[in-house]
Amino acid sequence: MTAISTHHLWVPYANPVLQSQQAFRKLMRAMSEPGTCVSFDTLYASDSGQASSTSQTAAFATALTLLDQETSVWISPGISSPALIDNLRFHCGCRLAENASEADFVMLSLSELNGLDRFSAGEDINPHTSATLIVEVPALEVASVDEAHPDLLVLSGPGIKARKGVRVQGLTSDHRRLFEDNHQRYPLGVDFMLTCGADLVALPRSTQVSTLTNRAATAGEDTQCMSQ
Amino acid sequence: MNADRHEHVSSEAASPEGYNFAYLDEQTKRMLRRALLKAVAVPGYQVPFGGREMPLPYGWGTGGIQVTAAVIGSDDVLKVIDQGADDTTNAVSIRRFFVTTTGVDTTEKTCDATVIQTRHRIPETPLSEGQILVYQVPIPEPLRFIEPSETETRKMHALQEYGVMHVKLYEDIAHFGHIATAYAYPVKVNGRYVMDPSPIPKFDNPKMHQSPALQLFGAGREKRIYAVPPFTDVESLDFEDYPFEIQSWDHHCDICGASESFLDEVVTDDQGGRLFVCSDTDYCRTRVEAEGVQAVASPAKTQEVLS
Repeated sequence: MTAISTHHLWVPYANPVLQSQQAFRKLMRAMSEPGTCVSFDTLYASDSGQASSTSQTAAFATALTLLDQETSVWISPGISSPALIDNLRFHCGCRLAENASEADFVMLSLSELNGLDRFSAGEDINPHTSATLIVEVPALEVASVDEAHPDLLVLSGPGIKARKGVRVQGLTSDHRRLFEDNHQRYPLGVDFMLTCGADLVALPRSTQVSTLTNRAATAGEDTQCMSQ
Repeated sequence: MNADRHEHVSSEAASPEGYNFAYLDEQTKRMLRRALLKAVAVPGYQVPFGGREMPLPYGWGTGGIQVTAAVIGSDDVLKVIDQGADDTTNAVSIRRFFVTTTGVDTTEKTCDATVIQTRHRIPETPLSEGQILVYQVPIPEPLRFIEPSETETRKMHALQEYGVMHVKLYEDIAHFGHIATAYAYPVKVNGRYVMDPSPIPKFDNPKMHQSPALQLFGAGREKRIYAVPPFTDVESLDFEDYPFEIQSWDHHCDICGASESFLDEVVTDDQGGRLFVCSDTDYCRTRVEAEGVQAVASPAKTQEVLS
């Protein structure tokens, strides 16, 4: 492995102890209340007065908070850059996995998410050995579940009172099927952290993701009931 | 202890010299935090973690303390209870531990706390969204008394082989005519994992179901962490003809008169004298203060308890 170039190191937490605790609480909130958007903006503003030199603040904050020498990360070709690799090696000291299947954490973009087979889904007796996927998406926002939109994901399950909606730009029907398949094999499966800039929404494997077509069908039934 | 008094140490440089914020080193906290996120993603599943040696013996809340240490920040307001009481040895020691190592504000009021560490009770006051309840767990494996082997119990969880739990409850009915399990009553979480809710009285089990608060469980000796996210189904195991039911008392609390809280029996003398009082001291005091509730018992007896 080559030496780390220090020219393009990003600004880490000014106060690693308190800020990684704050970042963790955001991550835990996101994971325990799927469909809730948490923002990592403030973590960099307070002490240093400098912005992080990466635009992917949420992904970098997640890495600073969770990755270390005990974890391995696989970075997809679409996300990978010498700057990202050097920063992860320098700030987190994590191992870089050669194969996606061996990685505890995976960083990739939504367009590269085209199957789950190559990521660890855990074992029946050890479902916690699965991978966490940090997926960079083009745009991300919390939305009303009643609003019909092609990018809308309707979420239900643990951590969600009734239903929650999230709009993820660039979603294809394959992605929807993939989220559904991931939940189908619960308690196995990967956990998703969708990131866009400073924002993050988590989709743990326990979350049921229903598609627009399912909802359209339900809406159709409702109309039928009313006409009777 | 005065309920309104918040112990406060400046949040800057709160840790004693040579110790990190919240005692544990950052490496350990990251390991715990990764385990906590997995636990939240698979509700009720016991995630193994690298338990550290804590400055107190196993059985005194080492698991709960490690979870709280991984979670707590300088803005948090901490409440610690032991069997519902804020002023018993375990609660006082753990509260003092976190005041010394983090400088956080503490409270005895359930509604003011952001993090509540508990030994064997859930507060009577309903919890709200954003609160975190950390349980101290002695034996996290609900199947342990039926199957002593860890490799076997892990397989049983993987295969959802939970029939034996019902056999155990059935044996209760065969022996006693009712389900005699009164604490650590097994629950099924999110329709998948059977979980030990820690030795809380079964009176508290219904409070776990669809709770707006995040519930985290730490077992220090057994090195397991598990969790129940907010708004998650937690169902106590039972039978159609022997449905789950909670304890009830013929008595009221002798201090605040509450009839719907969990009561402790207190022996007052060697002549058979006894009192029933709320196990949740904050709930009891809040009722006395807010409503000016008159003591139900004779003044002399109540005075004896209060003094």
